[in-house]
Amino acid sequence: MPDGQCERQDGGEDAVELGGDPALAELADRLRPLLDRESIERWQQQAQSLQKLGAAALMDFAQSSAECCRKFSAGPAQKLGETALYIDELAGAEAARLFLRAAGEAVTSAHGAAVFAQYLDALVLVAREVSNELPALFAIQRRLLSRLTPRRLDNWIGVGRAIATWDLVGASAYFRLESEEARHLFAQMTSDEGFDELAATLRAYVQALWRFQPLMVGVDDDGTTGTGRSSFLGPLVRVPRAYPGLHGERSRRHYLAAMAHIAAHLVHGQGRIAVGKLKPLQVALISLVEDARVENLAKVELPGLGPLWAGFHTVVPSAATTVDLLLARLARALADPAFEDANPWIDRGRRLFFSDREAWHAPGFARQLGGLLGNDLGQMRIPFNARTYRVEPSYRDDNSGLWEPSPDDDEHTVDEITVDNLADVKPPEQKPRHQDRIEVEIAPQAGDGILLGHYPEWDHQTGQHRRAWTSVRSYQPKPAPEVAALELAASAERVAGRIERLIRNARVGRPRLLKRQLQGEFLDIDACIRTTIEMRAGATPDPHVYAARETRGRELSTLVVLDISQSTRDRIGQTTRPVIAVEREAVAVLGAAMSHAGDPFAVVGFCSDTRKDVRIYEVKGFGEPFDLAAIRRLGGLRGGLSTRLGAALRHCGDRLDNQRAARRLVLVVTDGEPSDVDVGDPKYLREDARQAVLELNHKGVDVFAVALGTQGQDSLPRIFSRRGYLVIDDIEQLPLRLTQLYHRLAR
Amino acid sequence: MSEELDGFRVPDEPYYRASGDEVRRFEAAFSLKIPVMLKGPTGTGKTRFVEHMAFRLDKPLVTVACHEDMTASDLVGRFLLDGSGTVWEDGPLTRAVRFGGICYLDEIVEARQDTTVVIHPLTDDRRMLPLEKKNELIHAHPDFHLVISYNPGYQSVIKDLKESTKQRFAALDFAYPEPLVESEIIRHEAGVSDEVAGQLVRIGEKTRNLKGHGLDEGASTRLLVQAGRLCARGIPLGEACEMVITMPLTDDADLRNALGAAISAVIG
Repeated sequence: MPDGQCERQDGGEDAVELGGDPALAELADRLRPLLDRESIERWQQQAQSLQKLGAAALMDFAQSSAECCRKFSAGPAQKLGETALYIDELAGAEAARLFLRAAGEAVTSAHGAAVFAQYLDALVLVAREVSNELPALFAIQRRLLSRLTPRRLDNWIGVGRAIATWDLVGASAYFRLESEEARHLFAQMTSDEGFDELAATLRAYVQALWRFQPLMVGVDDDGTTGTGRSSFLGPLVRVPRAYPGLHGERSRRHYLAAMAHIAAHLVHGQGRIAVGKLKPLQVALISLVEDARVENLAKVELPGLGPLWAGFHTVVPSAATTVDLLLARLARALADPAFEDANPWIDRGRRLFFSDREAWHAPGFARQLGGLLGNDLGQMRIPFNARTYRVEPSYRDDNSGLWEPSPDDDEHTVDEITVDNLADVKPPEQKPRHQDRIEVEIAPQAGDGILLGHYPEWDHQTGQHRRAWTSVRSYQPKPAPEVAALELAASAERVAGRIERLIRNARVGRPRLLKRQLQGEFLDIDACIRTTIEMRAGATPDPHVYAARETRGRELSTLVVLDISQSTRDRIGQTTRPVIAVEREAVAVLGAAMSHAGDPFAVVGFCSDTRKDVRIYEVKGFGEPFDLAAIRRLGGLRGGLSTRLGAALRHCGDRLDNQRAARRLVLVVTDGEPSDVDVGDPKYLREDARQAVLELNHKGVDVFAVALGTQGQDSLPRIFSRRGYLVIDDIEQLPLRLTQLYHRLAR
Repeated sequence: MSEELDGFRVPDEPYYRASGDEVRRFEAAFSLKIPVMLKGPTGTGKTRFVEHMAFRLDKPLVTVACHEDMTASDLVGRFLLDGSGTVWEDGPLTRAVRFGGICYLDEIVEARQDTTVVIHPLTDDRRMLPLEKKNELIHAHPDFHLVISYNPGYQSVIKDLKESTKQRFAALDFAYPEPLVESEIIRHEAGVSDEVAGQLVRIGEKTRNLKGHGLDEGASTRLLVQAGRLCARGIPLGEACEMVITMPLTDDADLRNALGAAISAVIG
C-alpha cells in the first residue's frame, strides 16, 4: 500500500542521467510514481554506488525498495539502500548481495516500518561484529520480523552478538535458531502470555474443574520443527511454551482451551487404541471423532467450554475439498452447533455423531464412526498426506496420546514422543559427575559427627518402641562462600520487608497485667481507693480505675527442620533450581522475618544414612543471631542421603524442651515421605514418624509440616494428622508462603 | 420464663434447610441439656441453624462472637464504678445462665484458652457458674443451653480447643450440603431460577476442588447465596461471581485467573 508520504510525482521527466546505464534508468522510471523528486535522486545515487555488486543485485535492490515504498514509505526504502552500502563496506560484496536478495522477503514479512528499520540497524551491527552469521540471520528473518516487536528484535539479535564475543560456535547455533537459548528466548518474546507465565493458572484451572493435578511440561516447539501442538501421555502433558501469533488474552484462552481439551481426554477417554492395520486417514478421523466425543461430554457438565473451544474453529465452508480442509470443517461441525456446511460428507458425519448421544459413552464409538467416515472419504479418492497433516484447531493435542505405540510407525512414532516426554519430567538416572563430587564433600563418615543421643524408634508391627535404636549426630554444614550468602541474605531481605508487618502483628504469649486502665475486665483496687479518696476530697476523680490482662509479648519458639535428603536435589519442573535451593531461600526469608520480630528460633537440616547415623546439620541455634555466619551455614546445606524423619523429630523435641516459651513449634519442610536404606517396609518409618509427632504433641510441642510438590502426599495426613500439614504445589512460592504460614500458626 | 431476655428472642422463623438429622439430634441434646458443638467450615449454616433451633424451641438466643482479646469478664460480667461505689454488670453468658436461654459462643477457638475454661462448670452435670469476684454461685436456669461453633481448619493448629473443653460437648458436623440441597437453599435465599442455582452449586464445587491447592477454603454456601442475590438484582452471574467469589477468595493473580476461567467454563 502506498503510504501518504509517497506522493506521486508526474513532473519527473527531467531525470538525472544515470551514467548512461539504460537498465538503471528503467528501474528509476518504475519507482518514479512512488517517490518524490528528492527521494528519486537519493535512490539513484544509491543505485549508482551499488552498481558494483552486479546487475542481479541491482535488480533485487530496485524491487525491494519499490516494495518498501509501497508498503512503508520512502524513509525505510532509503535506509535499505544505506544498509546495503554499509554491509558491502563492513562484510564484503557477497554479504551485500545476499542482503539485497533477502531484502524483498524482509519487507513483506515485517509487520511494521519500525520493526523493519530496527532490523536494518541490527544488521549493520551484525555485519560489523559477526558478518559470518548474516546468511543464517537472513534465513530466519521472516520469523523474526513477523513476530517480534522492534525492541525485542533488537534484543534478540543483541543476545546473539553478545554470545559471539566469547563463543562463535554458540553464536552460530543461536542465529540459526538451533540453540536452546535462542529458541527459548524467541518463544518467550513471541508470547506475552506463554506457558511459563500461565502454568500456575492452568494447574489451578484443571484442579478446580476436574480435581487432578496434571504433570505439565513446557516445550520449545513453535511449529517449525515439531507439530506445534500439545500432547499427552497418561497424566503427563506437554504444552508448547508459546503458540505462534497469539498474544495476551487470546493466548491465555488458547492455553485454557488446550488444557481443557486434554483434561476432557483424560476424564472421558476410553484408553488407548491399537493402530493395527488402520490407515493414516482413519487414524486421523478416529482421533477427530474422539476429540469431538470427549469435548461434547465435557460440555454437558461445563457448557462454558463450548464457546471457549468454538472460538478457535475458524475454518469456513468452501468448495475446496482437500482432506485437511474437510477434516477441519468436520471438526468445526462437531464442535460448533452454529456452523453450517453443505458438504454431504460433513453433514452425514454430523448427523451420525449427534443422532445418539448415549452412544458417546459406548466403548469404541470413535473407532466405529471414525472408521465409517474414513471409508466414505477413501471412496472419494482425495489424497491425504499424513506427514503434513496437522490437527486443527491449534488448541487440540497431536493425538499421540490416543494411540498405542506401534513399532512400525515412521518418524513420528508415539514411542519417540513417549521417551521424549519422560525425559522432560524425570531427571536422568545418572547424575553428572560433579554432583558425585559434592556428595563426597558433604558426606563425611559416620564417626565425624558428634553423637547427640540415642533415640527409640516405633515398630508398628509389634506396637512397641525399639529402645535406643537410632543414633543422632550433629554435623556442621560447610559454609557457603560469603558472596553466595550475601546474595541469599539480600534476596531474603527483599521478601521479608513485605511480610514483616504480618509477623510482628502475630501475638502469642502469656497475658500481662495492665493497671489503671480506662476500661478493663476488673477493678484496679488501688486505683479505686485513690479515686474514692479524690471524690471524697472534692477533687476531680481519675477515671482510670480498671485493670486488664493483655497478651502483648510474643512467646513462640520455633525449630525449623529442613529435609535435605537426596530427593531435594531434584530440579523443580523445567528450571535449573533444585528443591533444596528454594528451601534455603525460604528459610532465609523466614529467618529474617522471625529475627525482626524477635522470636527465638533455630534451624537445622536433617538427613540420615541408616539408623546409626541420623544427621542433624546445625544452621542456627536458639541463642545465636541470624547473621551472615548462620546464612553461610544455611547456604552450605546440600542434599544427600535419606529421610529418617521420626528420629530427627524426637531429637528436635528434646531441643525445644529447654525453651521456656509458652508455645513451641517444630516446623518441618519436607518433599517426600520418610525412607532410609536400611528399612524395607515402607510403612515402618511412616508409622514411626507418626508416633514421633504424637510424642511431641504429648510434650506440648506442636508439629507442622510443609510438604513440597505432590510426592508422598498420601502419608502426610497419616503422619501429621489432617490439620498438621500444608502442601505447596508451586515451590517457587515457598519463601512467601512459608512465612505467611508461620504468621498464621503464630496467631 | 423471665422477661429479662425477651430482647434476645428470634422473632421470625429463620429459613433453614436440614441436610440430615441435625434438627432431631439438637432437640434431643437440648432436652437433656448436653452442650452442643457445631463443627464445620465457614458459611455452612452453623449460625443460621442455632437461630432456627432457638425459634423452634422458643428460647432466647444470646450470641457472643469470640475474638482473641476476649476475656472471661467479657463473658461473665464485671464490676463497674459509679458515683456511689461498685456495681456488678452481668456478662452475656451470666444472663443466659441466670434467666434461661441458649448461649451461642461463635468461633470459640478465637478466644484464648484461659477464657474458655469458664464454661467448664456449666458444661458438666454441675451446671453452675461461679462468679468469684462477686462471690456468687449461679445454678443454671433449666432452659440454659450452651452451644459453641468451631471451624477446624489447619490455620488453627496451635489454636485448638483444649481436650478438657472438647470432651464436654456433643458435636454436630456441618459440611457443604449435597448439590440438590444446596441448590434448593440458594434458590430460596437468593430468589434465583433453578438453572442459576444449579450453576452456582457447580461453581461452588469447582472452587472447593482448589482447597489445599492455593485456597484455604472453597466458596461457602453463604457466598453462593450472595452471588445469587446479586444475580437476582440484575448483575450478570459471571460478574456477581467475580465480585463475591473470585475476588474475595484469593489475592493471587494466577489463582484468580484460573477461578475466573473455571467459572466461565461452568456458566457457558
